[in-house]
Amino acid sequence: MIKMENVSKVYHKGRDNEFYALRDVDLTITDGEFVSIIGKSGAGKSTLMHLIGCIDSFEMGKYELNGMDISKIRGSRKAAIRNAEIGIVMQDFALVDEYTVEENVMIPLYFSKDRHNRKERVAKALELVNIADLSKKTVSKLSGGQKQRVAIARALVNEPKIILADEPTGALDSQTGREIIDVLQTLNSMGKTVIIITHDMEIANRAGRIIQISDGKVAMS
Amino acid sequence: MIQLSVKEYLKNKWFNFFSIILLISMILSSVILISTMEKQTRIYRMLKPYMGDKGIYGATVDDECIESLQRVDKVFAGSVTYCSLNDNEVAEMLVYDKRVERYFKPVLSEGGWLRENPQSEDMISAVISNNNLGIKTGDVITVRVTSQNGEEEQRQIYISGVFSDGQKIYNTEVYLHSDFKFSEMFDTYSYEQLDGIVLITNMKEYDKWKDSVVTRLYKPIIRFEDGITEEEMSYNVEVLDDYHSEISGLKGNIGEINDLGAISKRSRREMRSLYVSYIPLVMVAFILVCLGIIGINTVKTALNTKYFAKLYLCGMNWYHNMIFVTFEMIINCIAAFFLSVVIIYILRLFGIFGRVYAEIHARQAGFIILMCVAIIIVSLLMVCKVMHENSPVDILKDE
Repeated sequence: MIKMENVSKVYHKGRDNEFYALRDVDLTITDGEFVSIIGKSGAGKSTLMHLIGCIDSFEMGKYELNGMDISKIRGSRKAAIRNAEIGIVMQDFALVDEYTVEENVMIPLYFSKDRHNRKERVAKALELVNIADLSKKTVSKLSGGQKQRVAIARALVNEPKIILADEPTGALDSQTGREIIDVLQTLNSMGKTVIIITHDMEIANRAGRIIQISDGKVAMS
Repeated sequence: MIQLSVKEYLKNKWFNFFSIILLISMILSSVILISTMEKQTRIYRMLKPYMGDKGIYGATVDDECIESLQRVDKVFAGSVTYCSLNDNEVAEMLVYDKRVERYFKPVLSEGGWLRENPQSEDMISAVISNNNLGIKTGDVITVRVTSQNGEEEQRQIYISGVFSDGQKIYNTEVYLHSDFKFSEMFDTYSYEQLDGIVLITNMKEYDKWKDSVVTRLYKPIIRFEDGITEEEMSYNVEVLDDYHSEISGLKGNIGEINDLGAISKRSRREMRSLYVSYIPLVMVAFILVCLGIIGINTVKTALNTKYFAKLYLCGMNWYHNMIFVTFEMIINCIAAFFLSVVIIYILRLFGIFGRVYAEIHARQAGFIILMCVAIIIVSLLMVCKVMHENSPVDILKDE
C-alpha cells in the first residue's frame, strides 16, 4: 500500500525563488489498484511519480510504502526499493540503446540480492510482454512499441508488486499506445498495483481510479 | 556489479584506450627519468654505508696495514691485478666485490656475465672490453701475472662476454684534488681513447687466484668509528704515512684532501642536487598525465550521466557509478603497466633505446603504483563532483 500524508516537494526552500512543486498531497493507493494520475503539463504529476518511486525525496509530510516510512530510510535502501519493490517505466523508455533486449532486461538483476536463474527470469519477463523472440536484438533497432515492452519487461524482471509508468504511451502512436495499456491492464489483473501518469483522458479512463493533480495539489481522487 | 563494470568498460572502449595510452606515456617517462636518476646516483647508494665524518680516502694500503689501524669501522676498496696479454699489451683486471657488482656490472654487447667455462670450472671467468686483439666471447686467453713470490706465472682466463664503450667502470687513474667527490671513482670507459684493455671479474671468481697472485687495493675508503679520538686518528695517519714511505720512498701521504668527512659532504651535496634536478621533470610528467586522465574521466562521466540515470531507475545507488570508474582505472593502470614493460623490453631488445636508460625495479614499480593510486583517487573525486552536480531526477526530466 502507498500512503502519503501532507507530502510537499519544495525547491529552493527558504529563498526568494521558493517553489512548491507539490503541496500537502494526501494519497492512498491500495494493493492491486489500477490508478491513473492526470493533470496538465507542469501540474506536478511527474514530481509525484518520482516521490512514489523513491527517485526523488520530499521536504515535508509522510510517505509510507507497505508500512515502511520512506522519509526515514537512506539512499541504498531506496535503491533497493526501486530495484525490487517498484518497477518504473518512463515515457522515453530509458533503455540502453547499445545493449540487446536481454541485456537491458538483465540490468535490475545486477543490483538484486537474488542473482539466481537470471536468464530464466529475463525470459519470463519477456514472455509476459510477448517479445521473447526479440531477446537478442539490439534495442536501437526496435520500434517504439517494442521498446516500451522491453522497458515494461525490465520493470517486471524482479517481480515488484508496484508498476509505475510515467506517460508510457507519450512517445507512441495511438494504436501502439492502446496495446501498451493492454499489457499494463494484464499485469494489474495478475495482482500488481499499476500507477500510470498521463495527460490523455482516454488512457486515464481505462484505469479503475483517476487522481487529478492541479498546481501541485490533489484536486480529485 | 563486476559484470556490469565489464560491460561499461567495453562500452567506453575508446575512452579507455586513450587513458591507457596516456598512462603508458606517464609510466615510460617516469621509468626513464627514475632509471636515469638512479644510474647517476648509484655510486652514492653504493658508497652510502662508507661515507662518514671520520675517515681517510685514497691512502696506499694493504690488508695488513689496515689491520694495524685503530677503530676501523668499514673499508671499501677496489682491487686491481695486471695481466700481460703479450709483450706489448697489459690489461687491468678489475675485481668487483658484491656491492660493486650489484651497481656497476657492465652491460655486455655479447656473451654473459661471468659464465663458467663449460670445459673447466677452475678457470677464472671474466668479461673483456673492446679490444684490437680479436678476443671475443668463448675464448680462453693465457696471461702472465705476478705471483706472491714475485715471479711471473701463466694463468688462463675464460672470456664469458664483451662490454662496449660507454660503461662506467672503476677508475684506476683517480686524481685526488681539493674538490674531489666520489662520483669520480668510476669513469666512462673508452677503448678508442686509449683506456687500454680492461678485464672485469668478481670476488667469487677471483678467489680461485687470490692466494697466489698479487692484487693491489686501490684508493680505499677507510671509515673510522664515530667515537675515534684525535690521538687515535693521529696514530692512524702516522701508520699510513709510514706505510706509504716504505712502499714509495716518499713522505707525507695523508693530507686534508684525504679527509673522508669533507669528501662525503661534497659527495652528498652533489647527490642531492642530482635528485633535485630530476624531481621537477618527474612531477611535470605526472601532472600532465594526471590532468589528461582526469579530463578523460570527467568527460566520460559527464557523457555517461544518462546511462547512470537509467541504472539508477533500475536500483543502483547514484554514487555507485564510482565503482565503474574505479574498475576501469584499475584495469587501465594494470594494462598500461604490462604494456609499458613489454614496450621497454622490445625497445631494449632492438637497441632502440640507445643511450637512454630504462629499467623497472622496485623503486620504479613503487612510484608507478603510487602515481596510479593518486590518479585513481583524483579521478574519483572529479567524478564525484560531476555526479553531485547532476542529480538523476534532473537528468531524467531532461530526457
